[in-house]
Amino acid sequence: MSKLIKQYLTLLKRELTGTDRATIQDAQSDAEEHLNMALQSELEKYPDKSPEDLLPKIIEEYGSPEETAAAYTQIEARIRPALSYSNQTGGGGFSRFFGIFADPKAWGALVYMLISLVTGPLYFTWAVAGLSTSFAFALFIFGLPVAVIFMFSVKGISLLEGRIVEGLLGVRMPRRQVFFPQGLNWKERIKVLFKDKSIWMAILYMVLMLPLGVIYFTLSFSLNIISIALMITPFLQEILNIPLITFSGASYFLPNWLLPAVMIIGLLLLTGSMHLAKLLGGWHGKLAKFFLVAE
Amino acid sequence: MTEINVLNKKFQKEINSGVTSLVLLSVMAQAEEPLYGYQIAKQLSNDEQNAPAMKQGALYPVLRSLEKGSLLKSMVEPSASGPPRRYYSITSNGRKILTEWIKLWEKTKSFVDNTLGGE
Repeated sequence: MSKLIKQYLTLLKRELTGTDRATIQDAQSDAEEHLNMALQSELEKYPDKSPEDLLPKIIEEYGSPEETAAAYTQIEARIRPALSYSNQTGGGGFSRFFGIFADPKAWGALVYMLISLVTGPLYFTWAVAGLSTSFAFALFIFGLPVAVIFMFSVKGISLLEGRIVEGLLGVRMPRRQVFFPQGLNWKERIKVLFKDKSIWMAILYMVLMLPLGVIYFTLSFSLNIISIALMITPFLQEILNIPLITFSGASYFLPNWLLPAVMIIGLLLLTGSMHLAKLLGGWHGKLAKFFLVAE
Repeated sequence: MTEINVLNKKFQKEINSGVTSLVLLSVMAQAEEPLYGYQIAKQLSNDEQNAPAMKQGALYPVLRSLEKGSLLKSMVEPSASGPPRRYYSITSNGRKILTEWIKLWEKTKSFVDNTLGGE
């Protein structure tokens, strides 16, 4: 490979420091392919010239390293939310399995699963209470304002939940309210509101969040606690002399040969539960997108 | 003078950033066989005498983002000389989207033309 192309690739990499590793790799391989192809075809056209004569013009047409780097970062910024920068590409099975601890997506999903015990029941209560109050008050004249306020609150909550989902699960969600038609009288406005499919979908999502939240929390919490308990069992038993079980006056200890195995199982379980969190997080992101993003 | 140049360059870049996807997609729709990046870039610079000042390097990230959106698909093939090449071709979804985009483009074009003409 020509020295100038190598130099270009190094400069391009330097310009892209701080961006996702996959992007740098993409940019470098694109540039390498293009510059080599261009050089080859120019050399066929002008066989008496050297690569060093031809390359400056080729590079000028391709764009300076700064320009090329800017083109990549611009497009990345446009199409990917913050957490979708997964920092693991390649690597063996071993490093991929344990690399999950360095993956912001897994941590984001774990946090989401833990807080869903709070948000889930909250959404559910709000949706069910709002719906039933609206229906009950529909008999009276003030039933309508209650329903309208409830509908608007659902719009707000679904936007907020979207922000949480995008922040923690890395799925691109709406950043603004859906445009509400202007210049209607109040009767038409209410009609638009009640016919709005996205509001009904959001209510459905809020109801669904109760069981989901309970499942997410229970899964993530219990798996993490069990794995941590397994991992610290040797310390408890050997250093603090705390038995595994105490049953009618008798203390039961694990045999020593089993202790390393217990630790390893704990570590594997913890790592596995991080993978599960990431998987469920991805799945929930899709679910949230389906229910909360208007078509 | 230089200030005008800077502004021009920036404006051209802003226009390009939207149009490039459309242009690339339509080039791929017209292509009879899978093309690799250099062929596409060459075709664009050959075709149009008055092509906008678009650096060839800026085409590649757009190609990749189109692929990510499954409008294009690609495969890597080793070449006899030099590094392997990535061949791009349009997907059926890409063709569908292209007709939509052409409609949008026509609409935008006539809107801009009307606004400029109405001055």
